[in-house]
Amino acid sequence: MTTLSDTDLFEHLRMATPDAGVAFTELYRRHHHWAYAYCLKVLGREEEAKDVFQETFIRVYRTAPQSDNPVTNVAGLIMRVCRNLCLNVQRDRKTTVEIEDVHLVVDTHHHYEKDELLDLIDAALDCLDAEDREVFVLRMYHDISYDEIARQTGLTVAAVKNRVWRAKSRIKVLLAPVLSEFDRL
Amino acid sequence: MNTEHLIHEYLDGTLSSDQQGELFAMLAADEMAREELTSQIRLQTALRKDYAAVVVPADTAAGIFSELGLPVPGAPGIGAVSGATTSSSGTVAGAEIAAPVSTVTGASTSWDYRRIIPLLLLLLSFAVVYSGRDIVHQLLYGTAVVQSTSQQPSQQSSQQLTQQSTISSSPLQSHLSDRQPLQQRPSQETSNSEQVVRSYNRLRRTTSGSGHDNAEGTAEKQQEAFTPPVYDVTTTERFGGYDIVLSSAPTIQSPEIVRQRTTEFSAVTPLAWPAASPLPMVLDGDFELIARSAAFRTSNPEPDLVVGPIMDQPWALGIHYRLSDDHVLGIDGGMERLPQEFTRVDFGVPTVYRQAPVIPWVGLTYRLDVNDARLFSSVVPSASVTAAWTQIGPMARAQALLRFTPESRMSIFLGVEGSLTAYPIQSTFFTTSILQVTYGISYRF
Repeated sequence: MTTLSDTDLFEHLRMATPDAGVAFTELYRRHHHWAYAYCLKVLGREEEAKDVFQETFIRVYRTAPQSDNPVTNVAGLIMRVCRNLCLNVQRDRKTTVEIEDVHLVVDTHHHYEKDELLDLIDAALDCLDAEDREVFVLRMYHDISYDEIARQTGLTVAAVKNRVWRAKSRIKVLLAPVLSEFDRL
Repeated sequence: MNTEHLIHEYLDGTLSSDQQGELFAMLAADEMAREELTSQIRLQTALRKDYAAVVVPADTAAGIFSELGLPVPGAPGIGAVSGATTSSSGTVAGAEIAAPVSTVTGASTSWDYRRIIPLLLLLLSFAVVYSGRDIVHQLLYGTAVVQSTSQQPSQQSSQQLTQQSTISSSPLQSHLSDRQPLQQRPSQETSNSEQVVRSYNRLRRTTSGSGHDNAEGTAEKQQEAFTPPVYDVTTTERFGGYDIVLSSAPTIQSPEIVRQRTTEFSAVTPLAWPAASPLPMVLDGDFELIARSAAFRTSNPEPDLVVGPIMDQPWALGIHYRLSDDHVLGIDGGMERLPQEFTRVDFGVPTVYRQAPVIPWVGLTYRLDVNDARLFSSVVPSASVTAAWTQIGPMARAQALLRFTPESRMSIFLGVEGSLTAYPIQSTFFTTSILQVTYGISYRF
């Protein structure tokens, strides 16, 4: 199984072959890390990220037999499912939390440990609005091209570039007091 | 575009070559620009470290598989360090979401060393059984293995029944004697019996013509009380290509008779396998139980799409009935992974399927053991054909084997097996042919 392409593995799921479980396990092994990172960084809350992450892979497995044709971009499919679920969570959350209420306070005199520094990044990401945050994560974390991000989000490439730059500038300002600390990681 | 944005696009890989020249000039001249570059590199590095530090919680991963009713793998992400994972769409520059992994060309033709494990276990178990046959005999029969002697027996009680072993140099002759009913055997045991009776009569004539003391009179009474036995406890066992005749016979305190027996029974085996089957005599030597597996498979379509674990080993069990010394008929069945490649039209779209499901099969087997072509007296070439049926279509199998029979009942065999399976897909037949090395063990009852 480890030698098969994503498309061939997904075919096992789509045709519900006896090896579908093994194929799913292999697909999970290949894509679980970036998918969970996406959920975690876009949503910013671990419990919500876990739920969305689980639901993503469960949906991929269960809806695969409903596909009429082979899927050539399995990672793209997983990303679409993952993103839609994240948008649902963010939409529901907007009724209770205002993004403007989130702030980041960095203590320049504090000696941060590794986990604390990583938490600071999450806190900085929390200070971004949802749209900027998503494209920033896709570009800076997952190294996805601007064209692909534009396809996924429905934005223009120029808009994506602008959002990434804007988010990066904000993050850089927020983390500036402790950026040198990251050299220790 | 300010310096910060130029640096951002440079690190982002989207800065044009003209603008790169402009940026480099700025960096050479401006200390603040260099600090900005350092700052953005640090941020980028921090984000990548943050990405690498992401770990999927073990319970989250397990929850997915348990929800789907799948076994939870010991894969990365389940109690493992996520940093060790090799995500194909991670932080490599320029990576797209699309097509992040390899193609089918990786379908492996390499041989998995684990496939030899069943063969090793088989050989090990055979070695254990072979070396522990005395213990097995004790367990099965509750008596010690018959220990015969090539020495001339002497001074034994005239009425004591001593079990002796003889060996026949002609396997065919011994086989015939084994197959025919006792009363029809023209065997040498009958003549032995007659000789014993004649010798006994001579002994009586000799002793009756002379005077006797009390001791001699006692001996004579004992001899008179002796009734020449009927040789009805003779059995035949096969050992190393020879038929060994085991018989119960009287040993009479007479040098003449003892010498005669010693001559006839000179070639004896030091150790004999059980004289009788633990099963009813109706099964004696006629049935075989067979277990086998295979390795070094090659197939068309090839190669196997899956290099599975040890339980992916093809295996077969069979029960065979020996019609005669050379001809065997039986039923075989087993399971094996069958590589398939076929085209099926799904919703008007022709789709090529490549899969390797595990299928069961069962069939009727005929086997020919060529005893006349024995090698090293205990290796018999044999060939077999099987007409089998699977859940997807008919299957034909053929084997060429060498059967090594170091014991009378147990054999191990090694050979080549080919199979051809045909299966209809939307009114079109597709086939899978497999060639493999097969090996196994059999036991005769």
